[in-house]
Amino acid sequence: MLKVTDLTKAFGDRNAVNEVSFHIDKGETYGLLGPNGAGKTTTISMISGLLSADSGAILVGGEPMSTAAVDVRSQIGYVPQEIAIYPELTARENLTFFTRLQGLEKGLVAGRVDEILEIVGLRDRADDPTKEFSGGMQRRLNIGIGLVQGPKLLILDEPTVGVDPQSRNAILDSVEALGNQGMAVLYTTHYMEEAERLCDRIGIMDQGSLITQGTQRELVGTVGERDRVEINVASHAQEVAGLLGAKPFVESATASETAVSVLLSDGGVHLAEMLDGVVASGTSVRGVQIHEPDLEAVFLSLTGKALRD
Amino acid sequence: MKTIMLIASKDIKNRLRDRSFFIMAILAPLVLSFVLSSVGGDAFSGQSFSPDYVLADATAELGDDLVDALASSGIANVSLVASTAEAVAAVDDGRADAAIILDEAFAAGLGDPTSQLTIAVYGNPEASIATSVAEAIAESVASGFSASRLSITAYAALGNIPTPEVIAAASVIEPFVTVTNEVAGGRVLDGVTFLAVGMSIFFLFFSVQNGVVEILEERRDGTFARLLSAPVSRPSVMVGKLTSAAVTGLISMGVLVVATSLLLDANWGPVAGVVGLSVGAVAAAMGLGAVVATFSKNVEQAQQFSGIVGTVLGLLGGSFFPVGQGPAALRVISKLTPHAWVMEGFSGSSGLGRATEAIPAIGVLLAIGLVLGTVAYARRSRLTGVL
Repeated sequence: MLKVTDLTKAFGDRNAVNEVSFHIDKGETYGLLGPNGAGKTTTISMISGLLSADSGAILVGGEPMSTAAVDVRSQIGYVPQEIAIYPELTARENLTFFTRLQGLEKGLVAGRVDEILEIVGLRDRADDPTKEFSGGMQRRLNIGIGLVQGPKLLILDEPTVGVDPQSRNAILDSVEALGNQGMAVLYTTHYMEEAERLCDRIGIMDQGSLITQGTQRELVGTVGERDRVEINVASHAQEVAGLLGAKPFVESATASETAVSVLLSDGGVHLAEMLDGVVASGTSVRGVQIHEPDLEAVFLSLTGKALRD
Repeated sequence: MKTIMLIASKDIKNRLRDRSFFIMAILAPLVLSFVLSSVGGDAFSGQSFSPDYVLADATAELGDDLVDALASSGIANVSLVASTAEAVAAVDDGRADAAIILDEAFAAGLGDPTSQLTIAVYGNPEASIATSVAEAIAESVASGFSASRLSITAYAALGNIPTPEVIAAASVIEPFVTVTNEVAGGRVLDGVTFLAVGMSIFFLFFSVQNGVVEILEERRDGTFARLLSAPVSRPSVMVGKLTSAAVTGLISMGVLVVATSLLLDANWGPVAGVVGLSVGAVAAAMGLGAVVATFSKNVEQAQQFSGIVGTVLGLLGGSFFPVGQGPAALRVISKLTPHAWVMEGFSGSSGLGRATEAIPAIGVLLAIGLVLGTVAYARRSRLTGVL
């Protein structure tokens, strides 16, 4: 359904997207996972035809996509990161406008709008101005607008940013259901848990490059049996990371403000030694978690830094 | 065209529901026009000077003629009082700006060609201009008497004996108080109309500029990207957005024209002139808004720039006061603003009652819109972010 080949985009001296290639089949949900600034939004802006690529090719349903292409856009449902709705209009008016903009026959618009209202669970509030909606309801409508024309490819750019847990679950359920209905979905996120739950295949981006891609099992397999140990410390996280990183059994150690993430084999075996090292560095331990191999460990392994840095 | 109308109608609906549009485009200009006209609309148009005088006339002959002559000139409101004391009291009480007094001595001396006549003016010190004008009127009356005496003396010097009829004919007051009150060949707005036009145009520019800046808002909010991701051409999206700004501007003008005509009795002139000038003003405002937006980094900056530019141009362009009464430099600078051309157009169209008088101003406004629009088009990527 989507084929991206060597997609490249630079802003001045900075390479925002660098020779990114991937494809998404019909009915497949593909996750672009990466920290903020990794190039995910720039990539999907080019795929949606909003931004021109410096080089590379994008095929949507076999048709080339560019900023000048018009007809091919009807195959894409685009859900931006922002809540892109008109606050003075009702949910029904918003949906009706975007449905008509997609060129649906006039006689079919009202029925389609009702269907979408049902899908996003807003039928009861259909005729209320959306400025009166909660953030979660607005997010649901935001996704609903992306579905109005029944797209073959749905692109969602971090749709759960700033959403409460309940609405987040509802959104993830909806995306899962859409994937199961045969829609190809491109989902960007920097939440590892979302990618693990939703995506058939995952591409990990960092600094504009797609550094790896595959199924979750394949990606986790690349880090072997290594565990990720997260140690919360009272202070000196950077010094602790340096200290632990120097130990022979540690593959990598990175620090955030109050936590140190360590990638190593047999985390449980080396835990006592690591904690001794932390205490010896003059700080105290506030908590310890040992994670089985996951996407966070993959990212840590490939980039030497935590996903949320 | 279908896409353009779809986007424009959505925007218009969205904007008409926005309370700030109603306040900015309708309520504020209407209320300001109403309030300012209530406290003295003529003062804003420069057509205000109409002092109140009282005339004490001991001759019991000249007063009525003088009152009629001054009233017909339109230069002052004059009323007769019974005595000098009453005239002085009227000025002291603030009921009159000045008193012109033809007292008993004046009346007694009228029949004596050798007597020295005195016309007294008693003025309110807080109405110095009105008092000066009263003095000028008195001097004019005195000159009339001097001329009359001179003509009688000359008549007698030629060996004639002045009869009462000759003396009466030489003493007619009317000729020396004839005043015409035409301004620039009639190209002038009455006070209420001046305010209605000025306020409407001042806020129209804000309203239309905001409509253009809305593109930046849509960019910020993500809806613009959503529009562009739809299977429609990019130019049709832009034209749709600009159409809505123009239409809402014209709607607000239409409402204001009707409301000020009905509520304030403003005289906007022929409909064709109003339509032409409104279209010209909207075109200029759209060009201005687009240029301002392309020079702004974000929505907030664009709104600030629009506010500053709109206010400065409105002040210089004579939306609040007639710049024609200002220094020469101000009059020249004023002509660089679209507001001044709108005022100029309405002065001709409404003042003379001919829509054709507005054609030059409409042409200039459309040209301003075209030039600014061209500049904005060249910088369009700053506005849309993606085009």
